[in-house]
Amino acid sequence: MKGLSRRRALLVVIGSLLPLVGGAAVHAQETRVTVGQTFIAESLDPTEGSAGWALTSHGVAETLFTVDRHGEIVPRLAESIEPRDDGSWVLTLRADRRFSDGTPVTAAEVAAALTRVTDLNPAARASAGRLHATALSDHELLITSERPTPVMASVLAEWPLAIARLTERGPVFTGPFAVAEFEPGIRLLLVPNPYFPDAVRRPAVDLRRIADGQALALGLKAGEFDLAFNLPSEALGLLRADPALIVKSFPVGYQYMMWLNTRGEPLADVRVRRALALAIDRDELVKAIRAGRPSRSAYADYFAFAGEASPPHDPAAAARLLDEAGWRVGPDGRRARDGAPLTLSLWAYPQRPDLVTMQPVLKAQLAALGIAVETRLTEEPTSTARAAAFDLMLWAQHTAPAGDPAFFLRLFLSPDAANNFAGIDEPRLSKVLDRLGEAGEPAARVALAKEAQAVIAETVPVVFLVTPEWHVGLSRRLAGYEPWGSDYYVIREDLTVTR
Amino acid sequence: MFRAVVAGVGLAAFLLAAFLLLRIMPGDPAELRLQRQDLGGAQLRVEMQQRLGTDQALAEQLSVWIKGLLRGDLGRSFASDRPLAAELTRRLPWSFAVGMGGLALGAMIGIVLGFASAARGGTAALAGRAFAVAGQILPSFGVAVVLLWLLAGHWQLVRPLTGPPAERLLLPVLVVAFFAVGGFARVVTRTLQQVEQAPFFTAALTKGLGRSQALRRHGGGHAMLAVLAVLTPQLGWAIGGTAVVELVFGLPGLSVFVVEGLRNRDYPLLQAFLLIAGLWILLARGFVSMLVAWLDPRPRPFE
Repeated sequence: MKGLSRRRALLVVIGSLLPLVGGAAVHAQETRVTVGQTFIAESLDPTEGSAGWALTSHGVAETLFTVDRHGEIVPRLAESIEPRDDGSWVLTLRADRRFSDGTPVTAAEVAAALTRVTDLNPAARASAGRLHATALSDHELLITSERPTPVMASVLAEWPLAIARLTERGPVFTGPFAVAEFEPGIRLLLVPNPYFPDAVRRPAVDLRRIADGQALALGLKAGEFDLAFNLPSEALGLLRADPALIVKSFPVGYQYMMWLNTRGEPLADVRVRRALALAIDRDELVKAIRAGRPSRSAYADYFAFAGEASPPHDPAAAARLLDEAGWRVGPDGRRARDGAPLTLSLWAYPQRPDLVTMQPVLKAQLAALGIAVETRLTEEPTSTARAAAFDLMLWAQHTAPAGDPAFFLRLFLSPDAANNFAGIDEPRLSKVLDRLGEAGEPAARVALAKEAQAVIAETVPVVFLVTPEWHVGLSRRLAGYEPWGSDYYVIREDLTVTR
Repeated sequence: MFRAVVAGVGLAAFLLAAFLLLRIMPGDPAELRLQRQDLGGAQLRVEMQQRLGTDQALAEQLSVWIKGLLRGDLGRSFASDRPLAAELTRRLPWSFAVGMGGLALGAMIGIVLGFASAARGGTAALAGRAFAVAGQILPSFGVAVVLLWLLAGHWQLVRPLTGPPAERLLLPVLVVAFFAVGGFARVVTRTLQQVEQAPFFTAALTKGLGRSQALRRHGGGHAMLAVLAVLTPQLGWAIGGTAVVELVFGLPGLSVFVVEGLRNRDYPLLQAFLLIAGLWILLARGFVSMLVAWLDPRPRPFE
């Protein structure tokens, strides 16, 4: 990144790559920044797996709507959307947008992209099924969905629905950056999309995958990266002591939670579940992971629909409930009923180190109530959770990735949900979910989401623990970078070099 | 010729066994792929199994794989859908360079240290023992992070994460070498100590050679044979055994890819890897056998 010869070499390399992006970024690249993060897109085709999410996060792809830094759904490629009486929607596109090869973003292109991605990618069908879109004019299209939805803007903000145009050289997108060089899952060289406003202000971005957080932190310290995304909290002291670096922490939309397997004893008894929820001191959890905020909500605080989905810390009330349920403290200080000790397995997974850090803290808190906890790890958390092979399972989840509360509730708490880890079948919750499926007004959806959280607080299939904070390390060149939006929007149009 | 046929049959039997064992492992590749996207349900699972071909009978899956191999097609990854031949070609050189580079460097340092230890003892003997013990007790992850911290983070001498390939390979090779040195040094020392007990060594000394000179001249061949004996089983390192260093240094190697493949139950990837690893081990052992025959210091019959 330093020195004239390297800079010249860079200009030569990027110059030779320009034809690959259809003449993109002629004015590019007096500057380049190097970004290290733990993931890089595996494909440039949003019909494949989670490529749409990765490409949006890399600043390459865009959706029609998006979630802004305040958690609000706002138009992106779209200008507006209006429902029709027959359940279909008329979407109006912004007239000034182009793909990175210079082609205008027209209704026909967008219709083809939506239809293709929902046909080919099951993740794109999760909320409303297949979408069928037809162009009404250059900038208006009619969208119908396989399953009716009252919140089409939120559906169109979901990451699989990235808008791509297929060309002979592969898909092209509309985001602030265009792909110049791509090694799937390893490296991505981006240049500013010359057809995105203010392209000249943006640097080229060399995006590298570094899977290990410690290595990422040391790479930042060594001056190899201008931006290191999602640093481990134990490395922050070292980095903050370096005057050449800036570390910024930000709350994310992910929530740390603990699922309770309600299928059998002792957790089939709601009193035991409530006791566990009351026993947890979230401040101690935050101290242990050294970042984040205690949370009793299903959603991060910045969402309007964040409510109270778990009871507050009250160990005395927890002890009373356990006594009521027949789990009494014996002479050894442990609770038992009919001679059987109250022992629970508590699972976590190493892919989320914070959850592993929280295990002994939770174990100690429950032990103080006389509950024995066996901590266990799994490399395959979804398999373990879906197989119901746990009593308590720590989990990290973005609960509103498209800015709508229904996503999490539908995916985890409806009786037939693929991720109904708790095995809950609560008619009151199902009714609220049904009403959420029909309500279109934002205020009504907020009220229903809070109602659902109140039912969760009462029935306790899950206990919410912490809204984590993530950490981004920056060189002085990117001092103006402000992280937000979890890992959904890492490279954005406001990524500029401070001079 | 006969040995080549036996080796070929052995490799085929190994691959067949691997094909079956992979499918006995718990975990459905289709289900795991859906889970990575937060998807589930019987219908989607069936669709994914059809797409991956895991809904077919084992014999049919085996037939598809063998026909592909005969066409030179290793298939596509279950996890990414990308053709494996290109992916493996891209990744193999990184792992090979780290594994073979580390072993070669480790062998070179180990041989020098082993000779010095046998000839003079003292610091060299202590260093040989220290490497051997450190190689046993230190975690490779920890050594890799410490090297990264010292040489890149603290002194900023190299750019192991974003530099040119030679810079990126330096620290991983050093880590592999670090863990190999002790074994080579110990075996060289031990072999030379045995040589010192042999009558031909006493004869060499009585002819007026110094101890070091006699060790080099009459113990060198024996030591090389011992080094090859230690090296042969470690050749697997070259491909598939360097996942930890690849992970720490962010190298796009084969080893870390195979570990991910194991987690995803990516049968085509694992089968392709086992095929490459099997061929490599056969080739390497054949080469080592020839080298051993050439280096053997004992007089050959009718010579």
